[in-house]
Amino acid sequence: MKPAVAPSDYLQDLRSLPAPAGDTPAWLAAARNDGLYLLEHAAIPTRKSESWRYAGAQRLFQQRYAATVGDAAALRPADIEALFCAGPDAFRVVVADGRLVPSLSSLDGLPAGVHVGSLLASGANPPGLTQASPGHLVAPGRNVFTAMNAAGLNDGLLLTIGDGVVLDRPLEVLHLATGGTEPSLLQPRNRVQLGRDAAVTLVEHYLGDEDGAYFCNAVSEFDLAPGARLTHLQHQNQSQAGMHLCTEGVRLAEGSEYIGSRFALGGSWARNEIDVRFTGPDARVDLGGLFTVGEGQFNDIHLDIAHAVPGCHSESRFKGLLHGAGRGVLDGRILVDRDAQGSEAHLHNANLMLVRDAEIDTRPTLEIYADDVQCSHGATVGQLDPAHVYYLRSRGIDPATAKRLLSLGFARETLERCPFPLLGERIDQALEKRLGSPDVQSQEGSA
Amino acid sequence: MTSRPDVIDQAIAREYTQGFVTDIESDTLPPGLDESVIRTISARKQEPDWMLQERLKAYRHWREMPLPDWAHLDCPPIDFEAISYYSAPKSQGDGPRSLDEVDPELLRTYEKLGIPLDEQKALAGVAVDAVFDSVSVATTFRKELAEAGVIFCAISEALREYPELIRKHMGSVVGYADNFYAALNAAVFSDGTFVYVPEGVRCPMELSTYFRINESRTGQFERTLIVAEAGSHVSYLEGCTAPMRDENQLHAAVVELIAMEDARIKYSTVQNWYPGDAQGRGGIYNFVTKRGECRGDRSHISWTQVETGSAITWKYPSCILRGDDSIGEFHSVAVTRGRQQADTGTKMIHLGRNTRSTVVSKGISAGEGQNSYRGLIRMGKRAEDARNHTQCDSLLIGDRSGAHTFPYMEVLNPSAKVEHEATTSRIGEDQLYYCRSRGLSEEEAVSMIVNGFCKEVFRELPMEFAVEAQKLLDVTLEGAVG
Amino acid sequence: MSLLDIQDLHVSVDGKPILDGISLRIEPGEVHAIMGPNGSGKSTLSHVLSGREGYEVTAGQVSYLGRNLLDLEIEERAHAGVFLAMQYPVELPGVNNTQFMRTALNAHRTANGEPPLDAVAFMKRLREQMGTLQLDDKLLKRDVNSGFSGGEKKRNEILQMAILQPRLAILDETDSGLDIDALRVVADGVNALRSPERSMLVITHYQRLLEYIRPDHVHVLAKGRIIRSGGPELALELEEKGYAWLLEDAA
Repeated sequence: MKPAVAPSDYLQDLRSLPAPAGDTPAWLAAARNDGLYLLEHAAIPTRKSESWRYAGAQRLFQQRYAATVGDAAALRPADIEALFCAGPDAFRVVVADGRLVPSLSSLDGLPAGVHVGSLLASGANPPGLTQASPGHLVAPGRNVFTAMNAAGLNDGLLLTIGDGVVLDRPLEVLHLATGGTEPSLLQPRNRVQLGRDAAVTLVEHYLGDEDGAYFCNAVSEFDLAPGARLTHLQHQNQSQAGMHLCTEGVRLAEGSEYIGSRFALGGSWARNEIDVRFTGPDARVDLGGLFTVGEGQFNDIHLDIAHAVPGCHSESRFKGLLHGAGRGVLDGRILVDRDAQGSEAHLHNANLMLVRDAEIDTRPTLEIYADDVQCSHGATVGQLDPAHVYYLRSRGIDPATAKRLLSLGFARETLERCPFPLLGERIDQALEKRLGSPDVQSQEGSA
Repeated sequence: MTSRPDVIDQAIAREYTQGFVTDIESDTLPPGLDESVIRTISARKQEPDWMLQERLKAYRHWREMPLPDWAHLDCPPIDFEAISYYSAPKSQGDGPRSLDEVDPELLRTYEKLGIPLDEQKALAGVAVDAVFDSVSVATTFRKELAEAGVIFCAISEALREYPELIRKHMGSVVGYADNFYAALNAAVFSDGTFVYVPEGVRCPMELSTYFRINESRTGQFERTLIVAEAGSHVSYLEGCTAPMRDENQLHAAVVELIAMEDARIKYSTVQNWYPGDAQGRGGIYNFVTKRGECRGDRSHISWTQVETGSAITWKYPSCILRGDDSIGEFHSVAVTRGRQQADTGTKMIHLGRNTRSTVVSKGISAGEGQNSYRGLIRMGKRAEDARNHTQCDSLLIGDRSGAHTFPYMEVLNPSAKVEHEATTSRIGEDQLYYCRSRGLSEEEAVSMIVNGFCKEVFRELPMEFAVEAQKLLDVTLEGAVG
Repeated sequence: MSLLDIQDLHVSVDGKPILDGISLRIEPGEVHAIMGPNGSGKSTLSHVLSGREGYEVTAGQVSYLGRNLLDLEIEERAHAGVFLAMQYPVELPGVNNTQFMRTALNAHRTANGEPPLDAVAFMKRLREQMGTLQLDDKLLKRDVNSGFSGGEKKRNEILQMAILQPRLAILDETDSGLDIDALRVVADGVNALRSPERSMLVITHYQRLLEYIRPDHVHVLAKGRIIRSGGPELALELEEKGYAWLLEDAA
């Protein structure tokens, strides 16, 4: 597939993007300029590049997405209300087409030491955006997409939690693509900073107008100070024609903990790139979730977990459910550096392939330069266990329903990671919509 | 407990016992590669013209190819102009003759390596083809094999005696354009072994080729072709050594296996090329393309390798499982120590229905050795009910060693099943303590643990060589272990 | 008409004969026990009746309520009232226990021309049975058999039996892995389900279970054949003397 659009075709649009709040401050102009420079010189990764071997980045350059600021006014609070599912006491933030919408957000009662707001509108130069404010966890020069995100720096969420503050109410963020007349480019950039021993639960949704054609090119950074704890759930159910790339960097200082879950369901082409960097000992990462692949869908989970310091622990478990003729990818790399003695790292990927003309590519790699380590990885691709199907049939359930029930069961197991029943139900419904509900089937049979 | 650094220092200090040089006059082409070199090689071998044309085609293609850079190896650039592409003992002339005519110095060399070519002294039931630098110097038990209908000879001889068989099969599994080193080999290959087992024949003895690099600044580019016709069985083993030199020498071989219906080929390698010294000076660069095709239904190809030598090893013995119900196996022990690097593994390409593959890889890294497993399992669209199981274990000895695993699994058929498991561990202090508290020395304990770790693979070797391999492993890790 | 009529049943697995001519007739309301040493073919018999794949019937027939049981699919047998409480109930990670049972029950109802039960009616029925079996409510929220203890798995099987109300219940080594208290609970659950319409085939290695579930007939299975049949006293005799004397007799 040859690209129809070049990265440089975006330069003009991105250059003329207005700042979210009036005049463009100098630091923002500088950050965008860096991005524009990188974008101008960036190439679209080909399959020759190992990390894009299965992904086909060219598909994102088949058409031009209009870099716009979106139209939050089109959103109705009642419609949005129905999308939240982390419970009534959650703090709520809406980011529409990459821009935070204060009027749709509800942040009453935030304790002292917690800041939740627009990344750019605060007026100050947030960390990691320019050379003058170092500390980025996802380098703008990483690839053409991160360059594009920097070049069109447009807004996103900034969450900072001060030392010792434990936010006992979850923060729920809706990233919405509002849709519009032409295919649009959404580029949220999010930064989450947890101070010493701070803790929070963050729930993110990436959702879009059902008929929308858009490219969501998000960059998110999660920076954990010593002893901090971040529980992070991300639910992605972009539209059928939507493209979704979420490049995430997680940095863990000593004794901190990141519990990350991804439920990647939607989009025509979707990829999560997650970098994990341990900078202090005794930190822990528990990463896992589900990716599903339906007809014509591409869904890719890309992990890069680097143990550079001693005594850290990472555990990654992802499941892939291929229920339509599409392609799923799990590409996971664990690196244990020479100094990272006492590391423990495990990566597991189980895939269930239900249909013909689907493809799953899984590549769990280990690079280990220290000897006092416990590392393992495993991957399976297969079908339902005939013994399980037999058990269900012996209870009177027909084979098709049995298979559906077991496939849902395979996927649902990942919902153990989800502490919010409503979110679990939401994901469950999405799965049933794809696979068909066993209840509905057996009742249909009676009619 | 003995402190670990001591253990490793001793490992690095151990000697390569096969590093002597045979003082023999050689006919060696000057270093460098161009079309005239290829014409010269072909002329020395008295090859048919089509072979020369094939070589030239490969050479012209190779010149346009970039060096591969994807392996997990730290490899200095190779100066292909500094290598001599042909070297033969002068006394040898062209091609093997009867044993009586072989230079006694050569016979002594092989004897010293533990490979007596004298049939009276030979290992019972093993026929040997001895390849010295670029030529085959002797092939034993030819008469016995001929009676069974098995062809076992140098490939240069086969080109003269059985040109149609060679023309039909050579390059049909590994084409000249396959990869950089395969293209180079197709252009300059000098000798190697040809095995042909006719329909329904069970080869009456183990076949083996012993490769020896002797001359300095030469490369060895041998080519092996094994064809097993329907219902035939053959077991083949290769061994490799080279003198200690402080230069790097290139070994870029191509091995092709073809198994027709119900045929079975078992290919075993004990590779002990000179690994270089403790500082990483010298040693063989071992860039090998090995591939077998299970062309017929129910055919079976099994690769077993014990890789202890070479400064750099880059090889992926693979199986193309084209026939329905065909079986591919890969069993590997790879040891890296000192500054050795290995990037090795396999590809199992499942095309036929109900095909099966098993991969067992055991990597041992000691000293500053870097050991990578790289494997591709691909289940094609038509590979109904295909199955693969891969077990990939790494053992680390010493905190400066590295163990890496790069599995690729690509599945396009919903009835296929793929399972991959990998673990990385070191020899536990508690394991050593336990063994020692029962009266074993640390060396014995490590040897026992390492051999236990490799047992699954050794079990696959022909009996005569399993013991050799175990000894070789002990020698390789000697000192590493106490 | 008998409920179950097995005639001269021969069964092979992977070409190896396991059952070597079994004949057995079970009338409505009867409880039959099959005892026998390990490897005698007890579990094979239960799986053949349930319809598991991989068991080849090489000779003989099985009639169930006048129908040829062997012609029916696994789930058709279940709908017709055959229930197998398995020796090793499989774990179904991710499949919710309650949803599973409701789906199963509604599949039965649908097959038998009854309307499916809604969630409320189903839960009511479920709760009634839960009490009898002293099963914790938590098990309803968990995945089928996942992380259940041995006793919980067996009680969960009996719970399914209570919900599905089979005509023929086959209990395959239901006592294995149970302590005496758990055994009593399971037996109480089973006894509560005894009725003039419902028959049971209780497969066990030990006589112990039969103290709690009193059989009408006892059969001894060895080397794929029924070598002795009798009343409940046969079980006691076996308990006392072991299997050896019968095996010698048979040989």
